[in-house]
Amino acid sequence: MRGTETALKIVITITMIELVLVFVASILIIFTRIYMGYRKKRYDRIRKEITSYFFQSLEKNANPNAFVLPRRLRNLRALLTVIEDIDETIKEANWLVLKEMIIKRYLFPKARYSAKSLRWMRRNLAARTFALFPTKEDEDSILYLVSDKVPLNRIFAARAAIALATPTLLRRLFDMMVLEPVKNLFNLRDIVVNGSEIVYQWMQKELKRETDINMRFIYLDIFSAKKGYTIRQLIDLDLKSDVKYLREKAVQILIQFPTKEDLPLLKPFLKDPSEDIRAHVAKALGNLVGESAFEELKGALQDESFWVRMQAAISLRRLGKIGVDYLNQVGDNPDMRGIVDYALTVSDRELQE
Amino acid sequence: MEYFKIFLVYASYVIFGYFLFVQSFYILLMFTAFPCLTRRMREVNSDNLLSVLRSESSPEFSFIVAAYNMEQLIVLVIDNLLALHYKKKKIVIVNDGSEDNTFEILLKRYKLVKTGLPRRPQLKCSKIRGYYRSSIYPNLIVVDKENGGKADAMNAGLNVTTTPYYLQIDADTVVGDDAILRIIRSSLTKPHVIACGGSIGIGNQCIFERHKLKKVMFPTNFWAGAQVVEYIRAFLFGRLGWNSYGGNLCLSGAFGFYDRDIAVSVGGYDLAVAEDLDMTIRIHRALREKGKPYKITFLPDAMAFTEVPSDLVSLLRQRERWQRGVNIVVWRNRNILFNSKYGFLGLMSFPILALTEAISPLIEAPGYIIFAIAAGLGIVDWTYVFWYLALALLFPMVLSSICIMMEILSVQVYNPKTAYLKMLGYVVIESLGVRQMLVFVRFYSFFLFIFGIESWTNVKRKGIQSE
Repeated sequence: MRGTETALKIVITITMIELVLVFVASILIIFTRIYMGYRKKRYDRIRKEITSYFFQSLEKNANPNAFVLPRRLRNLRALLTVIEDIDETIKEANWLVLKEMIIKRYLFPKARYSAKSLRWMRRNLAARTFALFPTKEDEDSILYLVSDKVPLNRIFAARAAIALATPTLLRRLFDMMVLEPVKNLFNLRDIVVNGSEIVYQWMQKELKRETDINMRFIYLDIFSAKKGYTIRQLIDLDLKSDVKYLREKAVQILIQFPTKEDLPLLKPFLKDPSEDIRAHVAKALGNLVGESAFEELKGALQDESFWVRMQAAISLRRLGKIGVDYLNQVGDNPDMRGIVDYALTVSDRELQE
Repeated sequence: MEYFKIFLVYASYVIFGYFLFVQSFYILLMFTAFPCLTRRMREVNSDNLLSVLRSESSPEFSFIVAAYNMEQLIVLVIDNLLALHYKKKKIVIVNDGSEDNTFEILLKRYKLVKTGLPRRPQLKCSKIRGYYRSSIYPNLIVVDKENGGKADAMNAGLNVTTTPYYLQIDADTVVGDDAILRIIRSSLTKPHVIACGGSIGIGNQCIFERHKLKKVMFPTNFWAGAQVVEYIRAFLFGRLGWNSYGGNLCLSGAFGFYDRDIAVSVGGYDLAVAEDLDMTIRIHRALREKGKPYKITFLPDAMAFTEVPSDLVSLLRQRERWQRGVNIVVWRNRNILFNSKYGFLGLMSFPILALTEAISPLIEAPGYIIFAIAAGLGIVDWTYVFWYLALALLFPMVLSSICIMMEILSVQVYNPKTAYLKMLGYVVIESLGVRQMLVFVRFYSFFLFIFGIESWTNVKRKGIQSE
């Protein structure tokens, strides 16, 4: 029984400690609630005041160099957020001048200091600042931030790099893109696609001498996503490449604006080992080449891949009467019935796509 | 009789030891969860992610909604998703062989037209009747298939998804703009995040404005109210606490964000019940076996609201089903238990899950009876009984109250704000009756699982009351 009593004492002590800890936790929570509420309100108030300060200055058309932010409003994160919000909607010249002045005076000192900080939120402040107003002076910091381990910081730094478009920055950016997993490419690729003419000229120059397959894939991927831009003369080697995904991208570039003259060039790809490529070409033939592709599409309708046959059937439907008549003719074949039915009932919206 | 007394004494020691261990562990989790929550709120409050998420840099993702007999709710849920302010989203609805008018409603309301097959279905699922696309909303795809259960429907949805990420959402769940932004934020701000889950709140009564979730009201129904406390406790300190250790084992199936390629690489969804827990554990296992760095996180401030059972029978059926699911998952993955190959997962998080979720009803339910008998017969000291009651009944009450305070501290979603006082009343009811009742249902479910008996599954739905 003595053992039981000791056990009981231990249990009571532990339970008492637990209850005390719970009590401490409650007190902590109450204090944190009060403190965080205060902080949030203060932050929101500062943001509002900064915004009204900016608009007052813009309305008065005051000299931007004379703009001074009161000390109590110098919360850099709030300042940055306000500038980002206004920058999305206002593109007027006086705002751009005011923005430049504010960034240079208040944000640059902190951003340059924090660009290589160990804390990601600080690096984030730097990256966001450089994305708003990139300068040659900060090339080193942007270079560092482009390879940041936090995707969000990389995105902001990539924007700055694309805006500056110096060869060193572009080189690092593309090196990073090669290292990214394919699914994460969206982070940077879409930013590059929206880049200026300088970026595209640099990419063309690089594509001419680049031999690394992965790097070529990145370039071709971007060119294939860019509307109204073609680089046929640079993709001859890629069209003959043994690497499927490289060939696929090259074909995508080739079929961006196909004409009747391209038919001999596209025709061999209907026999490509990759069904994706055959399907792309079957789709493109119906899309833009027109009736001259009728014979090729007839052949593609016999393809071993269901997906290619489906695309060929839709393309034949696009050709108009000649294609529809042929589909009705082959539709008697039970193997073709499903595909033909689908192609004939496909909606106009899908045909346009 | 003497042996019976000795048995009662030792059994009460074991039960007491179990409670002491579990509650001490909960305190540890609470103290870990608290700094996580404050850090998270500080970060989120001072962040301006809208500029990124409105831009071309935001990641594309798909919502996958598995719907079975959801004619009451499906339009409300889809309209809510369509109204979300996020550009790069696709919505995939899988009609899992509904016997009611779910599909007909979809066909008419969204003007569906039949479309082609997905490129290469990577996961097996029941026979597909057709793939459809809305002629009003180009980003809305509907898959009509024969009934095969939720996991099967999710696999069919994954087959048509081409985006790098997908968000699994229940057909009775609604979300706000904020929740989506916060979920996406986590994939952008932390390296190696491959899955994350948000909190689930009780959305039996919601107010919508132009299909957007505007306000969540505290439910007037007693059973739904009692579950509010339970959900807050489960999400705010349980899952958040595990975050720091990287040991989150369950992302809620009602609102979970996953990397599509990884979900497909582990073979997609497999179990008809607790498919969310099963999927998360399989992802953990696969990536640990490959030695790849990864993170599965829980976000307390990203909230979705779901309809919960509002009558006792439905609640008991739901809990019985959940418990069966947990038992199946634990049994299937039993080789992880205390397996150092899986690191923290094998040595800590999975054994704790097995103890607190799978085995706990076997200890707790008989525990109440044994203690009552032992105290009644005067076998155990009354001081001992007092401390047992403190641990088993009073302590959960205090813990729930702290969690409610944490809710007030962070998201504070329920309206009117006075509802939080009401919640304190529910804390007492939940700890002194509802919880015990559910423990006995789980105990019953455990035996059904042992003897391989299938039982009731259907949950009665009233629909989210909206204005």
